[in-house]
Amino acid sequence: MTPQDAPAPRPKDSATERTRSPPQPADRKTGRSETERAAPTSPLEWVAAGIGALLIAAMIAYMVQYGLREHGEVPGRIDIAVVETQASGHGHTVRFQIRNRTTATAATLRVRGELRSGDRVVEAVEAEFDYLPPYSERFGGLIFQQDPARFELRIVPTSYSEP
Amino acid sequence: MTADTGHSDAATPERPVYEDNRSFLIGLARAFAGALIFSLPMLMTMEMWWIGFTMTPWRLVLLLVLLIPLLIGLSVVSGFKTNASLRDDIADAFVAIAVAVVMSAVILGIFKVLSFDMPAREVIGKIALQSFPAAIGAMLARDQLGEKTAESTQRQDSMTYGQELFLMAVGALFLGLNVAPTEEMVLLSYVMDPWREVALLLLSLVLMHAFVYAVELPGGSKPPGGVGFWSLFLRFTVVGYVIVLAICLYLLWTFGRTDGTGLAEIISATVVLGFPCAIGAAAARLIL
Repeated sequence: MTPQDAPAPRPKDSATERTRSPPQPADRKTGRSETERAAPTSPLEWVAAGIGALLIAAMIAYMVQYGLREHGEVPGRIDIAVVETQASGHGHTVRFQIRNRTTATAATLRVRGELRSGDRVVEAVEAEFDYLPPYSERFGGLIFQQDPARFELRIVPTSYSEP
Repeated sequence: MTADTGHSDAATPERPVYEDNRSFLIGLARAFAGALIFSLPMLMTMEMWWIGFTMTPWRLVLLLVLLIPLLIGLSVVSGFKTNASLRDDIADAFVAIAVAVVMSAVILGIFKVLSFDMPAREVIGKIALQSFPAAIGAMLARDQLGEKTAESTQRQDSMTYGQELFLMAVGALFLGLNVAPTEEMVLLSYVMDPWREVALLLLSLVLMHAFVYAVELPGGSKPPGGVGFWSLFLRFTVVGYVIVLAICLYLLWTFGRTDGTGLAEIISATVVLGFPCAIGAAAARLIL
């Protein structure tokens, strides 16, 4: 029943070759005889190991290319767009989207919303974001007592700190 | 006994692949469990999410590169199966990484720390950082949650001095990673006065030695005929503590806690973080 009892020099070969290339008959025999002794790496394990190797290589490769590309930009290009305005119990909620278009992270980012009537600021409220990572978007809301539809609405980022 | 083993040996070649895959899947389930147990505190720490995308990409690359030899070493020293060759240990290491990445992605996704509209840098950064503790957990679990065979126990008993120190380093990571990314490490170092820091350093050493002594290092590193206090203290406690401080410094640097910080504050944060790390290192044999 035992194909061969000779001490196999390369016990793992059968497993790798099953995942990589068609196994050679001679190698498979030695691999089999080793199977009954120690617990060798199974083909499935080699597949999982391959996935793991790919994943970590991809993460490293991505971070390296990102590191090479990064120029330490100032998070100056921040876009704000109003998504919707809703009347609520406490006033009028202006929901907005804020996008960072640079590779720098802005921490404790403050956004100021103003309702203006000509040069006069009728009402001003602030929102704060813990973090706005590179090239990402976040949503926030500004709650005004007055109806924003009756005034000119201006939303601008006012300050941030570097993490 | 001998007759029995002979019998099962003869029966095994009938379905070796099936048996292998089955035990591998059990090991895989254990690895997932271990990754989860080990890294849950970090998965639920907000600093870990933030550091994932605010940290310098090069430090993350270094962390990921260091992870590979760390896992292979861990597989050699305390893997649950005696691997015939280094190739098996390498396979184990990459399986642990695969488990860690999948687990981190799933859990962070459920927590909504990750979502599809996030940029790649943020998603990859968060997963990569969490994979580090999770992969160590996955690797440890295949040992810890598995049955302790006579063989593995014997292997643990015949560890070399270098392997003992390596295990201490992993023990330091085991406890230290839970707290290293948090704001509290830096905060404590601001709050504590130098005398308290000296006291903490001494307490770390005393507790560390108590653990080292209690576990009594039943390894090959133990010289025959008992060991003297100074031998044990210098060879394990002091050397171990130096390794612990180096690991602390590396972790603090990786998490960006040393940037723009004065030397005195760096040293004091290292000592503060050194406290849990020292306990982890000394108790490595008990908890790993």
